[in-house]
Amino acid sequence: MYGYAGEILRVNLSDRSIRKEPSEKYVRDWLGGPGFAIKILYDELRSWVTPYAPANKIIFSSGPLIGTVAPGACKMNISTLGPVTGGWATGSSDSHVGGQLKLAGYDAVIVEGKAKAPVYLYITDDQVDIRNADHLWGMTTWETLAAIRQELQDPTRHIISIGPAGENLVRGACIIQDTNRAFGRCGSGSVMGSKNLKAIVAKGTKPVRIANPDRFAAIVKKSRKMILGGKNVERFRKYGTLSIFARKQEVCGMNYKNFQHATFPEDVAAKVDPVKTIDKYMVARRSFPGCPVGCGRQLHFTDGPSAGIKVECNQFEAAITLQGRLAVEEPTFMYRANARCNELGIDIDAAGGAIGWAMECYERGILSKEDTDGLDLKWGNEEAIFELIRKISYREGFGNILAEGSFRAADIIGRDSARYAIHLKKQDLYEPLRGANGWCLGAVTSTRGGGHTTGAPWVETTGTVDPVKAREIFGAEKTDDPISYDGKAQMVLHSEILQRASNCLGICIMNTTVIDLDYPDLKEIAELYSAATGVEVDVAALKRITMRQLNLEKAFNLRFTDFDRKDDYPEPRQYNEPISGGALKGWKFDKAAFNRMLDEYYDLHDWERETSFPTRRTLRALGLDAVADDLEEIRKLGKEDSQST
Amino acid sequence: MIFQMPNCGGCRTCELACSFKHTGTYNPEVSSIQILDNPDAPGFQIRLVENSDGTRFACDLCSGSDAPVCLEYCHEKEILQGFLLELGKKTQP
Repeated sequence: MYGYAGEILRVNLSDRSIRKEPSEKYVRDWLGGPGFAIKILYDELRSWVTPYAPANKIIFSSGPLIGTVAPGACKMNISTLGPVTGGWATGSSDSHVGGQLKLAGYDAVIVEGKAKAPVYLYITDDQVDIRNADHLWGMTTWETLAAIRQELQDPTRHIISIGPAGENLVRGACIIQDTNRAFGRCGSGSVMGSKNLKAIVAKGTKPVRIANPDRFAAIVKKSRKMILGGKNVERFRKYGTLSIFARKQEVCGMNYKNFQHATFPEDVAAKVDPVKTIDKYMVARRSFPGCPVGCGRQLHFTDGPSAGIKVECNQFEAAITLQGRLAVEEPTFMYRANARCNELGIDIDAAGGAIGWAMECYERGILSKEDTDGLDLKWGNEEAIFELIRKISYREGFGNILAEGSFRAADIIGRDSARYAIHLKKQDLYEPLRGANGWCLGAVTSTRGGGHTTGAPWVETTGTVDPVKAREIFGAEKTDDPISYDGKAQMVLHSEILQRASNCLGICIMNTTVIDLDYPDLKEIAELYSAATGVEVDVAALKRITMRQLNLEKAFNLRFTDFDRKDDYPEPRQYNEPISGGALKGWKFDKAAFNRMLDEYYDLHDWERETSFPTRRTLRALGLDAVADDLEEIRKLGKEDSQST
Repeated sequence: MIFQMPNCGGCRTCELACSFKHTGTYNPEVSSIQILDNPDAPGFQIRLVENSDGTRFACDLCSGSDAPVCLEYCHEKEILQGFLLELGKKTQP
């Protein structure tokens, strides 16, 4: 095969069996990565399987372009039945491990069952070992990396691992690549923990082949040129996603004090401005295979409260999910807190969300020191925050409640605290949802419970949208008018297709029109895939394949959860409260308009308006008639033409 | 030869490109350029293979091509080019 490695590895930790099967059967209809995963999980997980049961399966996959020089081709995917939403759980992240798995000969690794004692998977070419990990259990992800490198006498070996959070089945536990890249959302780390699987180590030497080298070289060259010619490349290279900090403050896209405010106070914004921090403390770059941008960096703090600390810089996400949400004013906090979460293996949104809920409840007198193990949870108390991150990871005391995420913590505590648990489909929310309706729609309808990498358009608020180009790409007007409700369903649909196609192939979406309308879009992605694999797809085929995936994700959720239309709305605080300050002060959702926008979104997908359920007509068109039968059996098949009733 | 490259981000795209130039497939294990961690200083170390060890190809500066392919993908191509020139002086005096 070309592009693809050709095999899927299946490891059963209960009986220690190791089997291989050909990937070929999934290629044409499911593309790769999360596409393979949703098909396998839907087919193989019976409705009675729960996330921590041995019968759950967790799938690690490398899309067909990983291991080549395609732009940004480094995003591995990890998917499973997740413990946070109870449904589809998926995440893609930069990884050298993905490339090594591909070189070892695998497009995906399915792990099922549960080991009797801690183990790690050691995969090299044809050798697949389930090795004892007793000596690693209890270690942080950073310690695990060092220990495995020492054990294998290979200082450059790459791994993915869980930390204490995953071991302790903290609901929002994540999986870390080496030290600082996270498969962050949806609690996949605790699924690994539930299987006693501490780490996966991979190293391969089997070549990745290209079907049409000249054609591939040409499209790679063209795609790289599009990216390198972008207006914002230099700024992105310097500051990564933190380069949008000032812009997000302008457009009310921030989170201050648990979403009480959509902007930071101006003096706080000035103080924590990441541009200043990075300019002062950046010492080295961090890049991943194939990426013409290279947006990562190492920081070395030489003075101040973080003096002596070296960390990899975080994304913008940490600036608002930790720094702003918890109202910390010391500017280096976000980098340290992000690093600490990576060490312990907990999602920064899961940590920030739960602690943010707790701090607001403390502010309002719902929680007192008696509840919080004596910790003073006033806003911005760094010491308390770090102590809570630790307690959460080890399920100690009050941390044991917070380890369930804000939705469930509020359910445990009661006292009318649920209104301060900010979540989507039970997953702690990162995305500010007010003032950018396309972004909001993409996040609230996401099948994995929030997130902005499976359908949210990013360009509404970047201020650089060329309306002609945008119309061409999204098929919509008003793409740069964030508070309009028009055309947003089309923007989300395009984003769902593009982000899925990228995730399936293993391309970083920040090498596509997700971030800049001059970057590669579906046409270039289709050409990259066709040239590399010899499997001819065009844009229409990509649309069909990704819609097939989306519909199967929906059906998967319908099997395992009670999600329906009611779960496709912004959470109550942001849905009801006007923005408190800044450029959009006083703006609030027009609920009638939001509902019309949601109706339009369902119509575009041919899903029933009242419920959000896929119709037989749409499933049949995607070759999923059998799925329609399944949904009919559980009375969750959408009625056709619901817009006319 | 091993060079210190503080501004190398460790993307290893050069390894991929080099292996493809030699073999028509992507297989960083055989490439003439190898990125090594630098635990004591920022960035990475660049190893250029002078003599083939049976696995890796010796670097021949992509003789027969317009320019070494690794340069096409490197963010810091001038610096990498400097290393290649030094290798060239040593191996092709």
